[in-house]
Amino acid sequence: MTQEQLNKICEEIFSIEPSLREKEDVVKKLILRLAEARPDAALDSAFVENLRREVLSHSIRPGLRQSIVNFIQNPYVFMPAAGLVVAVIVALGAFRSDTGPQILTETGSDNTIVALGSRAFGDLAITSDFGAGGKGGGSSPASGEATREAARDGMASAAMPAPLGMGMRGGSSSIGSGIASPQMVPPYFPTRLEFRYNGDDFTAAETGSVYRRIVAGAGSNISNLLSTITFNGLDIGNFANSKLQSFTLVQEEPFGYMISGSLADGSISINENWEYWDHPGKNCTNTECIERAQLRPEQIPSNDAIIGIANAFLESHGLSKDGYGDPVVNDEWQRAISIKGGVATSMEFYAPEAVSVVYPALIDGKTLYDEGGRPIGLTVNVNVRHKRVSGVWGIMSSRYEKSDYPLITDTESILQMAKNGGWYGQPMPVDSIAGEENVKVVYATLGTPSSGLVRIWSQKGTRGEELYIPALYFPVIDSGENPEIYQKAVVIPLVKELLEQAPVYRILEKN
Amino acid sequence: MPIMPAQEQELIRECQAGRVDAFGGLYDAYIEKIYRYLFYRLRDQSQAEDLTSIVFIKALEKINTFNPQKGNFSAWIYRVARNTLFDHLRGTPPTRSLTDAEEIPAAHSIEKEADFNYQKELILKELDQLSETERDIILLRVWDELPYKEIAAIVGKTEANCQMIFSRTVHKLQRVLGPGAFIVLLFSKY
Repeated sequence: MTQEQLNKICEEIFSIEPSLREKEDVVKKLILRLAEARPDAALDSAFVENLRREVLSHSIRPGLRQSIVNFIQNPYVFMPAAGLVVAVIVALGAFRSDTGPQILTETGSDNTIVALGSRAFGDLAITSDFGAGGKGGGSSPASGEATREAARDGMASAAMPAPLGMGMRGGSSSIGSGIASPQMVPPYFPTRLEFRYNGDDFTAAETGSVYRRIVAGAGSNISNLLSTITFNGLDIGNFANSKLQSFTLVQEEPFGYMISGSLADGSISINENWEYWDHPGKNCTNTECIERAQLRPEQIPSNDAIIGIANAFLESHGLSKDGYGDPVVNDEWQRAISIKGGVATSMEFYAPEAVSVVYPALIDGKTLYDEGGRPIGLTVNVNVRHKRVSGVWGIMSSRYEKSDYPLITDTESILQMAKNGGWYGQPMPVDSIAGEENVKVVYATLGTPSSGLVRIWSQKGTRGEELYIPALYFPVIDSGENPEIYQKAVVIPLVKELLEQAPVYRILEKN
Repeated sequence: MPIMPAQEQELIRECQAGRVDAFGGLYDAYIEKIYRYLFYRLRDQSQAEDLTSIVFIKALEKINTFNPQKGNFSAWIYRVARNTLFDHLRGTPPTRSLTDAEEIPAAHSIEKEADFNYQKELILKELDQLSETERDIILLRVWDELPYKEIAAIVGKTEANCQMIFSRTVHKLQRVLGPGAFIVLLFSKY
């Protein structure tokens, strides 16, 4: 204790007990001895480090202010907790609770697969224009979502390289798919991608399970809750048999979120409330300003760091990773640099504001892919400027029903489709690409396939549904260092009646 | 590790926005203070570490209940520590009193141990005799070196009340230590 501190404490005492001033020396010695009696508390640095790790592995519980938000953010609103059979009544009291999120109705258990009889989903049908993978556009959350922010912020640049071979076949890229600037006209370089096979012999089963997600359908219960509310004299309860189909919650605070729920398909997405997310280029009106605000490639954190941010967010918001595979960072943006020879000099390189992390969905232990061969599931966007999660997509029920369907067993046809880039591939020779000269042919090698599931949209009349069908996943094992080849795999769906509707299959059959 | 108030507020905001990693900054700023607070009162390294763990896990999990408009974070986390300590002491009778301090090698350097004298023993014995609140305020002021404003927030009394309790307790100690101790104190070196 310093003399100054000692004097201060004594003066405080004397101001309360003036009589003690007469014994100032004694009081000072008493205080000093009190201070000296303080033991040495040696802090073990290993303890400090270990405890730090342990503490940061815990989750923050929602407070009163966040209870409504977390009530919805809780995946168990639509995904009943593992192993639990719950039937919880929604009450207004839930919104007053400070003890954590409440569960909103439904029965069943998480990651449940309900087996149905053969062909229980009826005839399966595909739409002719569905399928991101084969059409050159990017519709998967894994590839498209991260670029929304760049497009929104006006960061898309005319100088950005467009993916070569875009619009050909077999996949999409995050580089091209999210760019919305009207002045962007990607240069067109006719490139034809050919696949070769260098894998082992493989077999195909005669039947396989098709999966369909079971939607919780909690809308009626929330509707009941809302029906007790009157808006400006309008009694919501008067609209008989109405159901809530969607909702949006907005956090109006720095780095706030917008939480959108679809009760129709039992999904929730979280997006940044962009008005409350700062961006240095937000008010830019000229190119120089945009250029100054643009992130440089070297500012993008490592994939491990990005995954760490995503994991921490999921954990702190109670979003379980059960039922998902290891996270994969979509670092396609780096391809732009490799195309240009790895020299980053100016705005021509797209350093995204956000990078996606995909936790591939596992259904019955099988990885789910989109038709372009990209794993899909829970997608987390990490804003790399602020090093925060800026969006989450694919929060939905992990309860499924399955039914067996006949599969194609002709491995030769499967292989031929794989070599043509997938079931949307066109087995046309190079010189038949009308009106195009100097077509560049690039080659990639496919390896031995593994079993997986591919997501398709099955359309019947005016109604459609998402199905997860057995597929073979052919990985690209060698792209010959061609930067034009961004495709990581070719996925061939195996359900016979679906394949028979695919153009490539019909052409193959004719030949 | 010292931390600026503005930086602390930002970390709290981030924690309350769901960023667990932001709590790391708060942990770094308070780990030593909280450990010392607990160690001074428990005199047992192992127990102090156990309770420190509980305090920080509680603090992280309940960070959303902290309202910056109602007080500062320092007082809040000390209060979490104090409640944890009292819960522990209520459930487990303390195995060591303040006068046991010199018996704990880990807590003292050899030099300190040798220097542990009669006056200190007397003082520690008397500290043991004080009420929980009196002892707490004395130790928070002298050992933890906290200002009255923070002490008040921790023990749930007004600043003036804490100052009053502190002064009167010092007066009481001075009286109860008696003339003998008084003389020893008066002629001892400092």
